[in-house]
Order: sequence, then structure tokens, then C-alpha cells
Amino acid sequence: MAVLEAAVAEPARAVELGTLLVVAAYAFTGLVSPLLGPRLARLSLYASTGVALAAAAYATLRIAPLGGYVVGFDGAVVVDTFAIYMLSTAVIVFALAAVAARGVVDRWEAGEAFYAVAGLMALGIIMLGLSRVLYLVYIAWILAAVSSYVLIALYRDDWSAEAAMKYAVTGAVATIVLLLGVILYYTLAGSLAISNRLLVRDPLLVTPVVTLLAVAVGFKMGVVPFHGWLVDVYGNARPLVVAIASAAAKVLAALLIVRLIAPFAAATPEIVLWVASVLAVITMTYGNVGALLTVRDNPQKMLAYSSVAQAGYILAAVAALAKLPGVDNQAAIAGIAIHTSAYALSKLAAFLALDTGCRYPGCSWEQLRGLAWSRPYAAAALTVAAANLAGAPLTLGFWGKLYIVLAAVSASKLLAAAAVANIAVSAFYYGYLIYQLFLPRRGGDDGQVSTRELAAAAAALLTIVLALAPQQGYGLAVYAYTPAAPP
Amino acid sequence: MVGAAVYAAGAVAAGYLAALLVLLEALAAPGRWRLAAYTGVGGAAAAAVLSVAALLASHGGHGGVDRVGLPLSRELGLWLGLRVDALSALVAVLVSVLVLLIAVYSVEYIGSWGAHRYWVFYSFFASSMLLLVYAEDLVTLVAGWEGTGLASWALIGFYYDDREDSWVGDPGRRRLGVPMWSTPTLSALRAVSFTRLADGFMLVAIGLAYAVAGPGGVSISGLEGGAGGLLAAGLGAAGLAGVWLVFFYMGALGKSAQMPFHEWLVTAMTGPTSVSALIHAATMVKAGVYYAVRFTPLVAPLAFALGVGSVYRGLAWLSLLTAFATASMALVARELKLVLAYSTASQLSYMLAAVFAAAAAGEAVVGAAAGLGHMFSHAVFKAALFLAAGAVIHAVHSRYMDHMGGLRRYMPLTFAAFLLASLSLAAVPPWSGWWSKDEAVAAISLLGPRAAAVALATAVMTAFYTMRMVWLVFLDGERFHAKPHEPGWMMLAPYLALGVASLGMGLAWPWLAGLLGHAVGGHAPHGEPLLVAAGTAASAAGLGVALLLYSRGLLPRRVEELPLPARLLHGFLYDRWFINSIIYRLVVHPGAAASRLLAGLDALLDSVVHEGVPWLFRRLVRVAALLEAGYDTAIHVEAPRLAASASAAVRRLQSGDVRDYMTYFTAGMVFAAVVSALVIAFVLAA
Repeated sequence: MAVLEAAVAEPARAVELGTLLVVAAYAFTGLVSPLLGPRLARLSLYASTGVALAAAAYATLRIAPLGGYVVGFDGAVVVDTFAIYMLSTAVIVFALAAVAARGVVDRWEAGEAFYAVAGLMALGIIMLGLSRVLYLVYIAWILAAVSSYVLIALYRDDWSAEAAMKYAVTGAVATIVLLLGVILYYTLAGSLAISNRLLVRDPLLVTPVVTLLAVAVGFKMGVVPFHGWLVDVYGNARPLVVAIASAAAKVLAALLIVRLIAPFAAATPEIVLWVASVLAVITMTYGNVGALLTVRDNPQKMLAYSSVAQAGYILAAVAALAKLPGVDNQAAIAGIAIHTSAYALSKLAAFLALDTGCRYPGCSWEQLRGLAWSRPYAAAALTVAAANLAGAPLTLGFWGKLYIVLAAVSASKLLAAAAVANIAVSAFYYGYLIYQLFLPRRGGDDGQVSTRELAAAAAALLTIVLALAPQQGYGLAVYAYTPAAPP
Repeated sequence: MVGAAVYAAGAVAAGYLAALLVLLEALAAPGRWRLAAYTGVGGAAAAAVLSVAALLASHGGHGGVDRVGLPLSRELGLWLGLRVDALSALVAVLVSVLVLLIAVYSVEYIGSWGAHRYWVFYSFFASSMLLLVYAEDLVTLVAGWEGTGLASWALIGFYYDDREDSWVGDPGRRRLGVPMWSTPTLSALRAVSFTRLADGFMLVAIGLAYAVAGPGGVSISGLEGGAGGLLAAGLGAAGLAGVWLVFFYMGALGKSAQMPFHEWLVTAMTGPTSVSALIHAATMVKAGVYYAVRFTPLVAPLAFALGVGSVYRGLAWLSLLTAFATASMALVARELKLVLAYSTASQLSYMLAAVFAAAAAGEAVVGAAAGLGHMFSHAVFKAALFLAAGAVIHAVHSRYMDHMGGLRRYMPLTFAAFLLASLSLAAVPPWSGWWSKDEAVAAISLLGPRAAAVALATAVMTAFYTMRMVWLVFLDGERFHAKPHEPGWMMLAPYLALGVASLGMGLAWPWLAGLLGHAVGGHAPHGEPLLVAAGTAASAAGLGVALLLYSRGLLPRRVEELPLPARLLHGFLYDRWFINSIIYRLVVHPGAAASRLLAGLDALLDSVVHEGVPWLFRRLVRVAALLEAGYDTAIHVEAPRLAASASAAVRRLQSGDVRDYMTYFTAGMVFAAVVSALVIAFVLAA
């Protein structure tokens, strides 16, 4: 009772309480619920999602008057509007994945583990998003990373095993790099606390830290040349699990960028601008060019390459972060947030639709042809997802790309031009995907409507609904980064 | 008691109504030409009665000014206004009486061919002329002015079939490559073109006056009142006073056939002789004189106040030059009507010269009285001369005096009327022409002795060509083949009456001069005894010399028999001082060349647009087709091939071998390390 009274009086206490509840809920889902069987595990994940969304809503209302953020647990945790926006997207993705998994995963050998791992991964992402001390960042990273390897390997076949192995090997190296970066950061700052107003301005010291952190983040997003694992994992593993993994990885990367790299960006603007710009152009072009030829063999491979290209757009926004804090900086942050959430929901929808509409393994265009007539929900979800990823108007993806391009223009017109050119190129294969869906169907069967289709359609619908309020999303994402930013 | 202005409005309306009626008759009863003729005569009679009523209602002009009007545009403050004062009432009576007499003459003279057309335009002309005379303001005046111009055009070209006996000039004769003869249709166009050119300047002046002084600046009442000062102040401030004054009189110069616009009047003789008598001698060409008489007393003080009074000096000399030149042309003319036409231009110039010369001397009212007086006397005797000439030409079937002679025996009454009018033209006392010409010379002499000398020289020539004309037509030996006889009474009576009137007016001149002098706001001009004597002597000299030369046969019958200098002079005069040729060479031919050039340009443009552009596009299409083929290949073959090979290269990098991926990863790390090292090195070096 005393705790509640304190929570009512003190926003920090309330947020601490909420954080504890969310952590407890996901910990229960991850550690205890698998013992109760797949059905209860799934329900536990739903419950955790409910707790998380309720806590997010409550926290938003409480911290809104306080400048958009509040610090708790003696400075170990910070809750701000950007994190709430990103984490809400993440938990919705996990919940929708759970909806989709029903009836599929339940028949697997260790089906309940799917929900448990999803819960642990969610926990890792949530902790990463809220952490304000370095060790918490590292722990959360480990939790999320290891759960994603497990998730990929969960479906028992050779393709998945190989993919998980590649992911884990690359991830191990990336984790070591992150650890190096964190240690160097600690050495520099003399404290484990992460501050948005870092006093270190010495490029001699800042450069290695930013470099190391960027490599780790780059691995997670799939930035060329740290992307090797991504195409194989997204292109070969079971689409159902890729749906979660691909969404979670980008959210994680976006959180890391805003938490760890953004504070340094202003310290060495030139280096961040140049390195991020060059990597952004390489990554976008690589992904889009690679995706072009997938129209001859495999739709899933196409989505895998498209994930690389989408990472390039996020990097373009990172380049824009190098500008001094201001409107352009905010546009970059909002661009990252909106683009990432649009990406997460779209990839979820797209991979889930592939999971129903396409045979696994060996998905081919032949099977997708005329999907609109046999599986309208899946086709609708794929269509909306492709429109989002291509940045078509009326979708959330349009707004994300718009803000990124606006931010990129302020950083470098050349970079913005490259981004626009890449978006234009990508319209070809996204358009091809939609075109295939609406071709006349040759034979084939009309399956039962699965929960995967419904979840995909729900995710797709969400991108349309959120696209109606781009200004609100923008405000939520950058609220904490307006002049009265967290110390 | 009906106001004088209402009678005036009725007089104006009568002709228009008659024109409308004739038009309807032409539709309803095209064969009944007498009905049309009597409708026209009836309209003319009504107009005459009503204009006399207007004069009486205004008590001979002593009843002040009576006005009536319809609003034309309330926004612009313009009225279609009529004004009856002494001047307009008297001139209107002159006009309407002449219109009536000549209408009576025309019934027989015109006959059936084109009767409806003739009477429509005749009646229309009569009303337009009365509208011009009664006009209260310049807008109404211009309406009448344009109406008379339209009727003039239609009636000069009355013989639109261009029958040869209505031509003017010797067919085939060219000077400086310009034809010296004219057909009715060409003459009609010439009349319109020459007067239009001059009218354009007048319209600009009227527009300027309106712009500067508002509605008052274009109305007689306004100019009599305060608008004159406003007009002068506005024009003076704009620095346009001189230009405006010249423009203001330009229309009058065109209408009254002053140099260099006089050429149209010469060729206007292609119209029926009744038309020549009414429009091109008695009334319409007097419109310019009336305009000058009407406005000069109002405008001249403004001009002097603005320091541009010398413009009148220039105008006076221009008129004197015209008077002299046209009189000299009349000395050698072979065609009876042409002599009268030259004479008309010359006498009009006397009137205008009198008005302008007196105005230049600061006595505008004196000049106006003199000009008005000569206008009255000339209108009467020249109408008589023309009508009689029409009868003569009709009788001998030739317009050349070479084919006349000795007609006094065959047409004694016509001879009597012609002689009476001729003595007035030659200014023999006590005919009206003697009085009025002496008054005009007196006014002209205000400009200086040289001007008076020119006027007197012209008077000598006038008497000479008058005598020559009478001699060649009526007194000489018979040179015709027809059987001439007197015309019917309908034709005879009008010019007989007019001939008698020219003597009667002379007898009543002291009274008439007082009336006219009062009408322009002054008094009867006093004749200078010396000038009267000189003028009378000039007249006597001209008559005497001509009589001597022709009765004694001292002049060779054929031009070829003349000595060379005289032959050259004869050619110069006969070909109208070459002015027509010069105008054609300087204005008409260059204009035609410019027109042809523009037409050529237009044709060129046309062919460029309709042939060149399509040709160009056909070529472009071929070029584009070539380009298109390359472009097509580039877009549909090369670009996809390039994209596919790039994509294949990327796909090859994605080998599936995790060792390759680690290599990329490590390369990235090395790249990051190098970048870091470079940055550090750069910073340390800095």
C-alpha cells in the first residue's frame, strides 16, 4: 500500500513500479510459462503484452508533463517517450507473432519454447530501451541476441540450423566488439551512466568508441559489410520466426543508435556524417541491387535483401544526426522511430503472409502468383507491407522515409539524392511482388484462413492507421529530445 | 409655345424618317421610284419648314439659346444635344432650303435608276447635316459629321457600275506613273480615305478635350462657360496646346478640302451632279467652315492665352495656298464640273483663310462673320452653277466644255441662271459674291499685305476662269452634235431660283450681313474702301482679260500650239500641280508596298507554320525514331542487363559460406580501425 501511495505521489516511483511489473511479467513468460504448456505460455505472452502496453500508456501520461522522461532506480533506468514508442511497437509485434504462431508452433516438438523465447527477447529489448547504465545495456543485448539465435534454431531442419549457426557466429564477434566499445566508453566517461549530454568532446577518444558501437549496431541491422548473416537467415529460415527476428533486430538497433551513438554524434560530426553516409549509400545500394534479381527465384530472398536496403535508410538518418541538435536532428530521430516501426510491422506482416502463402522450404514466385484470389488476407497484408517498404503514400513507411529524406537533405544533398534514387529502384521489386499477387491464379488450393493471415492483416492495418497520425508519432518520438532533454 | 430646339429636333428627324420610309418602300414597292423620290422631297420639305420654324421660334436668333437633348451616357456625362441659336438656326435654314431645292431638281435628274438608294442616302445626308449644324456638343457634331461622310461615300460612288461618262479626268492620262482619272468607286474610296485621315486627328483632339476638361470641354455651352479655362489649363500643363490646336482643326481641313487633303473633292465629281451641288459644293464641304466659324471665337482666346496663336497664321497661309492653287487649276480644266470643283475648293479656302487670318490677328469674330457671309453667298451661287451644269452636261451628253459652246440659244433660261450665279462667283457688284468676297479679303488682309495680295490674285483668277467657263459653254461656237434643249421645270426652277437669289441676296446684303454678324456675336464687317476697290478691280481685270482673250480668239485652241514654257505651265496646272501624283508616290504607293510586304510576310509565316513546321516535325520524328531505337535498347535491354549483372554480383558475394561473411566483417572492422586511426592522426597532427 505504501508503495502504491508513493507511486501515486511520485512519477518516478510509479514508473519504477510499472517497469518492475513489466519485467516480472515477461520474466514469468520466459521462465515459468513454458512449464505450463504452449497454450498457457501464449496466454502469458498476451498478458505480458497487456501489462507492457498499460504501463506504457500510464507512463506516457505521467511523464508527459515532466519533459517526456523520468529517471528511476537510482539512475539505472530512464523512461522516455522515444523508448515507449519503440517498445510499444516491439511488444505489439511479439503479441501478433504469438497470435500467428497459434496452431503452427503448438504442433512443434518444443512449441511452448517459442513463446518463452519471444518473452525473453522482449524482455531484453525492453531492458535495452530503458537502461541508463552500460552494464544493463550489455546484459540486455546478450539476452536479446541469444534468444534470437534460439528462435531461429527452434524449427528443426537443416536450413534453420545453418542459419542459426551463421547468426550466432557473427553475433559472437559483434558482441565482443560491443563489449570493447562499452569498456572504452566506461574508460572515457569514468562512469557507467549513459548521458545525453556527454561531456567528452575529445575526438581522439570519442572516435574509437563510436566506431566500435557502430560496428555492433551495424551487425544487428545488417549494414554492409557486417550483413553477411542477414540474407541467409532471413532468406532461408522459417518465415514465421524471421518475422519476429527481423522486426526485433531493427528495433534493437534503433534503440542503440539513439541511446549510445546519438550523444556522440555531435562530438565528431564530420566523422559520423562521412562514415554513416558512405555506409548508408553502400548498404542501400547493395540491398536494392541484390533484391533485383530475386524476382527470378525467391520472394523470401527478396525480403531478406530488402531488409539490408532498409538498414541503409536508417543509416542515412544517423548521418543526419551529426548535425547539431535542432529541427533536423529531431527529424532524423523521428525518421528512425517511424521508419523502424513501419519496418517492423511490415516485415512481420510480409513474412507471416509468406509463411501461409508459400511452401517452406523452397518458396517460389510460382506459389505467390494470384495469391489475392486464394488468400485475400495474406495478399492484402503483403500488398500493404510492400507499399510500406517502398514508401508509398498513405502508409506509415511513407512518413518514415519522408522524415529521413528531410533530415538527410540537411546533412548532404548527395546522400538524400542517393536515398531517393534507391527508393525509386526498390519500387520495381516491391511493385513486382504486388503485381504477382494480383495475376490470375493457375490452379492451386484455397486453404483455411489461418491466424497467421489475420495477424499479418492486423499488422498491415496498423501501419495504415498509424499513417493517419504522423504528426503524433513524430511528437511522441522526439518529445524527450526537444531542448529539455534528459541529462 | 413649342421651343425652337424641338422644331430643330423635328427637322433632324424628318430626313431620317424619310430615309427609313424609302428603305421600306424599296422592300415593299421596288418599282415605284417616284414614290421614293417624293418621299425624299417630302422629308426635305418638312425639314425646311421645321428649320424655318426653329429660326422663327428663336426670333431670328435674338431669342437666346434653346437646347434639347437625350442622355447618351450618364457615366460619361455625355448628351445627344441640339442647340438652336442664331448661328445654327440660320445655317440650318440655308442647308434645309438648299436640300429642298436640290431634291426637287433630283426627281427628274436621277430618274429611276438607283432611285431608292439615292433617296435613302440623300435624306440621310440631309438629316446628318442638320444634326451637325444643330449640334450642342462635339460628340453630336461628330455623329452628324460621320453621317454626312457616309452619305458622301455612297453618293460619290452612286454609279457603282463605273460608267465612263461619270468619270473624272482624261482616261489613260498618267503623271509620274499615277493615273490622273478616277472612277466612281475609286473616288468614293478616295473621299473616305482622305477625310478619315484628317478626322482621326480631330477625334484625338476631341478625346483630349474631354479627358482634360470633362463633358464641358466638348460642348459649346461648356466652352462658353468655365470649361474653356479648364481646357486651356490642362493643355498648357501637358504642353500639348499647339499639337491640340492643329489636331482640332485637322478634321475641318479634310472636310473642307484644304491642302493636302483637297484631292478627294476633285475626284468626288464622279457623283451625280445634284450630289455635287448639294454635298460637294453647298453643304457638306461647308461643315469644316461651319466648324471653324463655330469654334474659332471660342478657342482662339485660349490659343493666345497659351501662346500658340501663331498656329492660326499657319492655317491661314495653308488656306491661301489652297485657294491660289485650286483657282490656278481651274484656269485650264476641260471638264465643266471640274472647274466648279476647283472653284469650290478655292472659295472654301477663302472662307477658312478669312476665319484663320482674322483669328491670327486677334479678331476671331470678324473672321467668323466674313467666313459665314461668304459661306452663305457661295452656297447659293455654287449650287445654282452645279445644277445648271448638270442640265448642260445632260443636254450635250458630255462633261467636257470642248463639246459645248453657243448653248445660250438652246438653253436661254439655264444660261440666265448660270450667268447670274457666275457674276456672283466672279464678284461683280452688287451680287452677293461681291459683298462676301470683299469681306473675306478684308479679313484676310488682317494677316498682312502679302496675304491680301494673294487673295486678290486669286480673285483675278476666279473672275478669269468664270468668264472662260461662261464663254466656252454658252457663248462660243457650237461644238456639239446633240440637240440640246431646256430641261423640265422641276429641274429648271431650282437653279433659276438660286441664280436669282444670288442677285437678290446681294441686294439685301447689308441687312443679311448684319444678321450673320450678329449670329457670330459681332456685327456686320465694314468694307475697307481701298480693298473693295482693289477687289472690284481684280474681278474686272479677270473678266476683262478673259473676255478679250476668248472673244478675239487670242488663245490657241490646242495645247500643242502653245510655246514651250506655257505648255509646261499648262501641264503643271492641268495635272493638279502633281499633288495627286506626289501623294500617291509618297503615301499611297509606299503604303501599298508595305501592305504587299506584310502580305508576303504573312504568306511566309503561313507557309512556315503550315508547311515548315510539319516538315520540321517529320524530320524530327525520323531523328526521334533513330534515337528512340537506341533509347529503347538502352532502357529495355541494356539497363536490365546491367541491373541483372550488378544484382548477380551482389548475389555472388552472398555465397552462403559463413567464412566469407566473417571476412567481410573483419574487413569492415579493419576499415573502422583505419578510419579511427586516420581521424586520430589527423586530430593529433592538428
